Amino acid sequence: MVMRDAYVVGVGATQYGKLAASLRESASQAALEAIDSSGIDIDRLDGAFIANALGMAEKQGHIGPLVMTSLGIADKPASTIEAACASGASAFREAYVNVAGGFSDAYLAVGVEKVSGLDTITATSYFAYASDFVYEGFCGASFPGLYATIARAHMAKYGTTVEDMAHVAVKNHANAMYNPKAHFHKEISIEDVLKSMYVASPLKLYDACPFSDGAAAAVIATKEVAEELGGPMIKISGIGRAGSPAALPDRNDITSLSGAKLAARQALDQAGLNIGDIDAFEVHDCFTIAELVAMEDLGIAEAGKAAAMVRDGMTKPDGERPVNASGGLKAKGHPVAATGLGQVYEMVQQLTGKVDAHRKTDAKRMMAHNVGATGGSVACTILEAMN
Amino acid sequence: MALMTQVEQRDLAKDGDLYAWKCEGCGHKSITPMFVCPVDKSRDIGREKLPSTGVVEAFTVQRISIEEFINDVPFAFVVVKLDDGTNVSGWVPDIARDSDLPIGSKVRLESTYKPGFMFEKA
Repeated sequence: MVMRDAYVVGVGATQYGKLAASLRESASQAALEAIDSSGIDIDRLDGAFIANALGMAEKQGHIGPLVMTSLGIADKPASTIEAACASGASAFREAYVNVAGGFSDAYLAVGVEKVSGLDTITATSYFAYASDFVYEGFCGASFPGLYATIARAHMAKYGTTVEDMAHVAVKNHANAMYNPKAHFHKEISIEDVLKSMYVASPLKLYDACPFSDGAAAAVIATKEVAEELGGPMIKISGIGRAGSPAALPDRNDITSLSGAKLAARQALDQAGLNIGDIDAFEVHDCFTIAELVAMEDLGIAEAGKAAAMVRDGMTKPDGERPVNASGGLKAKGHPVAATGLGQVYEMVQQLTGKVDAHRKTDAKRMMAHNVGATGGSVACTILEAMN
Repeated sequence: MALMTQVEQRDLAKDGDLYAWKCEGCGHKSITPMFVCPVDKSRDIGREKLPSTGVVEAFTVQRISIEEFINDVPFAFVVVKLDDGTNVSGWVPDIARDSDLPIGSKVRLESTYKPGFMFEKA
């Protein structure tokens, strides 16, 4: 039961990539940008949810109080939210629940990750710990390996090809060229993708998102506070949160994430919208196959038909159904627990027209789809520009 | 009988015997721990020995691995549909090319010192 409407009144994000800043520094920078862009007095924030999944990479748990101390509001509560790669949208939802539920008039959500200090094998292992490790990691599956297995099943069921997946990478790299905060600013070709080294067949290096550092944040407030602040009115129209069986063998069908379908349905029902009413999407393309599966789970495409839409250019920023105009996780980067809030940041930029013309979608309603692991956790968020 | 533990399942698998948790109400089987059946919500959970053979439903050849498998690359991570229809995850050593293990390949559980379920081509 939603008690009252809530709005995104400010957002912030660091550059994504390999950053010198520590966890608390990145988180604090993004939080301050969000607070300053909203114009809210920092003392009016009742607390924060801080998304962080791999803090141990920097030998730091319990990051919340560090961030609040750096923000000068150490007396305000901050709890860490962890739902693997869906941590960011999950923290956003918990902050939303605080405001919509009437407990707070303004709340902060921050997502932050720093993994660049890890070598490839260690980072690969840390990411795999978000799987059902006894039944997947101990059977040798890396995180790319699990999505590669999904890709293999999708190829067998629908005839999806490696070229189809490469088209996703090429599009998202092209979009990231015009996103100043993106990890990669490098255009690539289909041939580049197909010639890159295998990570886990059929997925190659350019099918995979990078390990990124970065942070993103949002301030959520009541309608009254939003109107008082006088900025753009960005309403949180719908927010869904669901799950899927953690391990692939526990699923009836591994070509789809059942939790994504549920979360999207919840968000659309709350907003009173159909998927056709959404103008543009930010989806969780941790691997190229994941963007195709996301499009099919959300209902942007029928099952097995997403690849054709990508190939036909329909998901480019100026296409009929723009997907990942930010560059997506694939090229914008994937600072794990920051990603969901980075999607919120991107939606607000698009809804307020503050993006480069090359990747402008003119969207007034957007949906983000943020996935933890292979769908064990999923969150879908709909934002709407009201003025 | 007490609910099977993961340690028991792992030790049995090392000897080549694969067990699943089984709902005594509806017969649903799960290779991962089940305290409540997701189908009928029964808490009457037993165990059942699974067939040791099945076919590859989906797979990947791992080129970059996690720490526990760095000396095993390349190998295949697999989702296997056992002969009774139960899905199980596992790995198949010494698979270097996709063509070495096409979908539908028959595999058999083998005993191993490693904690995961190891299969070999049958």
